[in-house]
Amino acid sequence: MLVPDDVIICRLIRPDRDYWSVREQRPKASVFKDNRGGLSVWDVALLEQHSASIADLLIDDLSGYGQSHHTAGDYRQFADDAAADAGYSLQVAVERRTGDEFVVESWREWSYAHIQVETSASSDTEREKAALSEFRRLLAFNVRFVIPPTIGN
Amino acid sequence: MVTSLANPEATLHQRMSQDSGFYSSDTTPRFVRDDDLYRNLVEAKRDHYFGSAWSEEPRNTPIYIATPAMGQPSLSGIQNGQLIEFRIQIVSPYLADNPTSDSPRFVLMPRRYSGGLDSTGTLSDNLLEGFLTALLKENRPTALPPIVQKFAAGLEGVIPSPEMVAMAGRLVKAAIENTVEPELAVDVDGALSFDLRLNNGLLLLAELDLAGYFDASVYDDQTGKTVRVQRLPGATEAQFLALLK
Repeated sequence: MLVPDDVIICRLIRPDRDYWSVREQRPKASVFKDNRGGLSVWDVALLEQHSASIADLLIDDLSGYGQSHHTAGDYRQFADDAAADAGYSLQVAVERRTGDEFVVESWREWSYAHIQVETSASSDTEREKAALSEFRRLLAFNVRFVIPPTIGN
Repeated sequence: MVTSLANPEATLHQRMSQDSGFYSSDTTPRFVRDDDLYRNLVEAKRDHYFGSAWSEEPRNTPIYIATPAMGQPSLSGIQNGQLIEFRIQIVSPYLADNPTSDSPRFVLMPRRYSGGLDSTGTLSDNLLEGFLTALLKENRPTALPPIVQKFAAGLEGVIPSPEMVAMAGRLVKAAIENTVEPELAVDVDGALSFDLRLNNGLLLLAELDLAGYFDASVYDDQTGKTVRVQRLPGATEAQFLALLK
């Protein structure tokens, strides 16, 4: 089921300098990179409707993760923007995926709020790569709300 | 290339005193014993850092670090002046805490004396010069920054070509030399990513993937909104380097 454009979704940011720019205090584009075929994000409002929050998801070894909030519409808009000059029509699907196959076991309690972001690009061609790279950068630069991860020294 | 050893007639210690870049004339040891580092290396990261090059040593063998500075190795006194206890073996560039550092420190593993010291217990010139020569000519020019080593290792059996690794080394070197606080990373898909603040205030983001595709964009975020000012899909090394200048 497609997620409406105005829904706020959160991508967790691993507490690592590879994912968080300490210099700029923003997520790096790599936060939005997934080589397994999709990004896992979370519906913030839906969690709250169930008296939960993103913070509840940061259990065990997820302690210290940060949060990067966009709307579902942002993802679609940035895909369009990135595709504009890449010569490749990048399509982005932002869909609710609540089945066990989409949610790792430790997060199943909150699977109702799980959203999967998948792109049409497969990184097979340079045009697709170019569009994907720009898409991720636009996400990193245009965060609506962010909570930094805990980066050690 | 032991240019600092200017006077071949002087004793080694005289030369040390004359050249503060190598030795100080006081007795303060300038090698730093780092037991914590040693523990970390041996117990957790030995294979990662040294691979098969590491030889098993007694666990109480100290590790000393010399930091090349200004193009010269700051090799200096041995602890308490006891040069006779060790000969020095360059084991590997030390992967410093800052993976983007362009001043790799070299781990020197002191070993029990097995030659190279004269009968009076001073370090022989040949050994010192051999060490310095190796440090300058063999290790430093060929040592890849850790971030490039990580990129070169590839992902799931996919490794970049030697040419691509060499290019990555040049890109990283240029980024380090020409920007402040360069943020370099190897991403989850094995790509080498650059997040750089240029001297003109613009942002340069680039990505070199394992297949050799290089993508870059320049952004202006100085007005509070990030605006792309240049897009370089399929960027060349020359284009990237030109942006850094």
